[in-house]
Amino acid sequence: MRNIFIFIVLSIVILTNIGCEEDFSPRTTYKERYILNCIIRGDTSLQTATLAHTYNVEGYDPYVNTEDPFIGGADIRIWHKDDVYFFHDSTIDRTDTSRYNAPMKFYYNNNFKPGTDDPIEIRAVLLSGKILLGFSKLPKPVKFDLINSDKRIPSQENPDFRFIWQSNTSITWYLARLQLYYYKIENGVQVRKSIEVPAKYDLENGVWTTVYPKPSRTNRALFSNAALDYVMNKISEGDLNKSDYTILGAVLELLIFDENLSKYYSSLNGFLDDYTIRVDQADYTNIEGGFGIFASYIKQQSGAGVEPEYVQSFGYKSNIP
Amino acid sequence: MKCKKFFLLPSLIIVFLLIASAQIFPQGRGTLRGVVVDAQSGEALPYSNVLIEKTNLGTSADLKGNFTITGVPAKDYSIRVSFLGYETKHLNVTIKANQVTQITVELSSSKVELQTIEKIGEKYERPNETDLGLQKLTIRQIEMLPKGVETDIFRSLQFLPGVQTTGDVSARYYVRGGGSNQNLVLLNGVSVYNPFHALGLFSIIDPEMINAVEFYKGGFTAENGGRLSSVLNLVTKDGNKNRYAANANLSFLTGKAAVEGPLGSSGSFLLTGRRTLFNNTLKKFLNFKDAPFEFHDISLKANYSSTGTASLTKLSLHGFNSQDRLLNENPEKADYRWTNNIFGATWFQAWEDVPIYSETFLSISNFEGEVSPNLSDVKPKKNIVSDITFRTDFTNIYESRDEIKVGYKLTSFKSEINLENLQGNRTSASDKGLHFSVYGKYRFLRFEDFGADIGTRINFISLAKKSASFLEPRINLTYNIFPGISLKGAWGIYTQELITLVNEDEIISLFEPWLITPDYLNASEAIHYVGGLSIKLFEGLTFDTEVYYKLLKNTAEINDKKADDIDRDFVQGSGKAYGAEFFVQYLQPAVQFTASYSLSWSYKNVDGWLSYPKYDSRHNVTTNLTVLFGSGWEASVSWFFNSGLPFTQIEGFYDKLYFDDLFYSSGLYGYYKPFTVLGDKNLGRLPTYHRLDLNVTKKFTLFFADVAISASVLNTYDRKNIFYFERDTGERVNMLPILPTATIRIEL
Repeated sequence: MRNIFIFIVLSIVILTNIGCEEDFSPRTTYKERYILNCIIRGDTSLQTATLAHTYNVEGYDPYVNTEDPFIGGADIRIWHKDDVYFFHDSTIDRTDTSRYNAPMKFYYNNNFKPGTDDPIEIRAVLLSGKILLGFSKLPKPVKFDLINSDKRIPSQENPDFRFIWQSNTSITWYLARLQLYYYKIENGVQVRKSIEVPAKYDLENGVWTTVYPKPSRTNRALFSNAALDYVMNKISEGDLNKSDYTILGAVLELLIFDENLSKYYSSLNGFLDDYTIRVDQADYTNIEGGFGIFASYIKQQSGAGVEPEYVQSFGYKSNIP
Repeated sequence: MKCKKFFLLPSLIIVFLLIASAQIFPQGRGTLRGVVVDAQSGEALPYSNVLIEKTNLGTSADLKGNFTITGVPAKDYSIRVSFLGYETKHLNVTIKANQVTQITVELSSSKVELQTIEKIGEKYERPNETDLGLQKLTIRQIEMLPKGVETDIFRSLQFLPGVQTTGDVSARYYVRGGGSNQNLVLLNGVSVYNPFHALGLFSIIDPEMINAVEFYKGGFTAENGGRLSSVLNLVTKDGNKNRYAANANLSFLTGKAAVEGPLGSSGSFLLTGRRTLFNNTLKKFLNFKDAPFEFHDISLKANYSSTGTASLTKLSLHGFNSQDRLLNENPEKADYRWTNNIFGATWFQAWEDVPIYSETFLSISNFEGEVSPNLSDVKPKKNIVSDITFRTDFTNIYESRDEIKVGYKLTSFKSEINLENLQGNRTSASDKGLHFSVYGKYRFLRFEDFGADIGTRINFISLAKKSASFLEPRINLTYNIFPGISLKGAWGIYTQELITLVNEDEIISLFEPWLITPDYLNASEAIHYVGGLSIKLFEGLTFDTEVYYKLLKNTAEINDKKADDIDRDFVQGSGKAYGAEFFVQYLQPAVQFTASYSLSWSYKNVDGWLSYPKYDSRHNVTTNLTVLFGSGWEASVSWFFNSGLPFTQIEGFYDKLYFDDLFYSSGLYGYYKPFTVLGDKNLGRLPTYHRLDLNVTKKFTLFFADVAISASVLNTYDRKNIFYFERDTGERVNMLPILPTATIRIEL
């Protein structure tokens, strides 16, 4: 009986021990790597870039890292045709200082505005001699489909104002913005103002919510009539003098991403279903020798009038006779 | 679809072989042919043993209970027929010269349980059996294993050396370094494309309907084709031919019932059904995530057979439906559903007065899976698969005991796939095609100590534009070097034209969408080299070892870099796997012990990068001890050990640039969030996995019903086996905790 008791106790001790969680670290040796981000804008000559290094933390929560990984002092250049453009070091105050207190290091050049379809190359040489390379090409402008697009706000045919263009490629991402311009008389002076029109204005969970356009691969931008109504009311919210407002018109602005930016943006927005478990996450980069993105986009715009009857229904003036 | 040019010549060869095989009985000899069935139900008893006493003639029945012994000198004999769990039967037969004697042997279930075990030792095995890589399982053997939540044939395969899983939360299996889509699952000869319920946690095959299981781990012979790694051949029961009967089962997950009975004087039917009752159990498998899956499966089989004095014909019709659904009332959540529909008709004929069998199949297998995102951000996914197959097999057994087997298979396959990857890049493909192949093989069984199975498949019409081998030659050899000791070897070329679009990094996925190998890829091909040694040390103790080397060419690997709808979904890969497996079985009255160990390596090569696949485990040990105590009590204990599975380690982090609105964030683009930098793919190893399962069953009669109550404890010592860890939080997600379960079965 005594032996049985000892056997049972020993079994419990052994089983309890082997049932325990085994120590295990999912880490491999840390190696410092570098990240170069530079998105060239086709509508300005001011271009910026950032350079950073990877970091390691105790445990698994990367947010505990408070050592600023952004790097200054590197030599960053862009080659465009036969010209070289040098980037200068600078810093900018952060809006979010929850992790890093110091101003953010970045690089800029205020004299570079490439033409569309031009190949460009970026090269960053770190103080350690490490080189990061990237290649891009500004996208071509798209052709607006003015026949099928609405020319006036609100649309006479559709439940939303729609603007359509011809896609460059199936991969290209676009970001549209509809700005409504108006005058407001303030202290006897007419001031020009603008407001962005959301794509949707819907009741969600009992709360009226605005949804603004996000980058998308579709070749059209839709703005619901409810969203237009919302904006028209919003511009004079709390102001009884509706006649102080003159609606000038709307401008549709369209950003056209190049292939690299399209792929990069696409890679940022994965969403798995509730049940699939994926253990490794692919990362998109076009930077040789590191991570990050070297890409570009251009901006195009087109105007649209606002129907005088629609404007007047809000008590505003129209600039269209 | 590609049609080979030399259609005529091989066809003529096949026809010639068939004609040449027409049997002329040698003087004074005949053939004994029959089927072994359960005396009470008329159900076929697969792998039962048939011995002609006072001779060295004997055989074991096939998985449908059929047997043939040729070259028997014409006279009166006593034959002995035995089967696991049944009383051995002796009966007299008269073999007539130049004739086939057709018999039906009915065995009665053993009343004394200890005798059940004794019968195992009587198993007749031809020393020249060419069975390398083949595992035969009866449902009775599967039921003796710990049941877990409920008996699952796919999970039972994990006891076999060479079969690997990525964890106890999944019934998906990987055989000798091959992917899960390289396993052919046949239900009554019909391909099943997604044989899983609830994200792969359980198979759709209700063991209640299964009568026999054949599992080829590799080196399989010419009659099987279409997959690179393994073949799981499941044969359902026919149903009780003698009386109406019913049974019901209740587990912590499902409720199920079966009804069976005679159809006329020579037929029978079996209707089984199963559905989820308590899906809260699924939470235990999914890290306590709410998973209100509802699933069911229904199977109906009807048979009609006619036995003459020298012939047997049998027609079987089988229908099967399984469905999984997860539907949300909340439109901001996605809906999930997937369905299998299978229909098969089989015409079996044992030809009159000649030892020829033929079997003709007509089958339809459909799979449809869909994820409807509704208003959620979940990516849509849809896959429709339709497979219509017509197949005939002929087997002729010579007086010398040699066999020739020929057959053809014609498949019309159609698939439609629409899905988006994580980056929103769409895959949309609709394809259809024909596959036509012929096979022929010759089994040299005339020598007592040497057996050879030599044959080939010939692929005349291929589904894939860039088809693989036109010929798929296969060889399987056995040489009995000493009594009880056999050396075995197998070699073969295998092709696969149907592939799945599943990211291997998904350790749980909704379903595997099937499609035909796209035009830009070569169809996949494998070469198996297998060697084996089988030792029967003494009565009841057997030892088997197998070594294998498997080369995988032109495998279809998912293109991680797909960043556009027009980018290709796959890239061509390759792989190899090798290893050794050891299996010991000790069978004594009242005690059954099995233990296996496998040592294996597997590699994948994609885009020039060599890595271990997710299921590569260096060491695997499984043991099972089952004891029958008498009075209806039986108990079993199983222990599993796997060395750690590969995973990709974290190297560090970087602050990645995100942006939603470049209009407003154009200065410095957007905002930065930490992103994990991964090390080299799958170079790390998770901790070892081990688990102890216990099971106790009590069988008794209650009034007019036979009752069996089983209680199991999975992961008895609550081992914290890691499943994966969350990249973002570092949270460790473990597999099954200690899980007590119980099932009750009532049979009327």
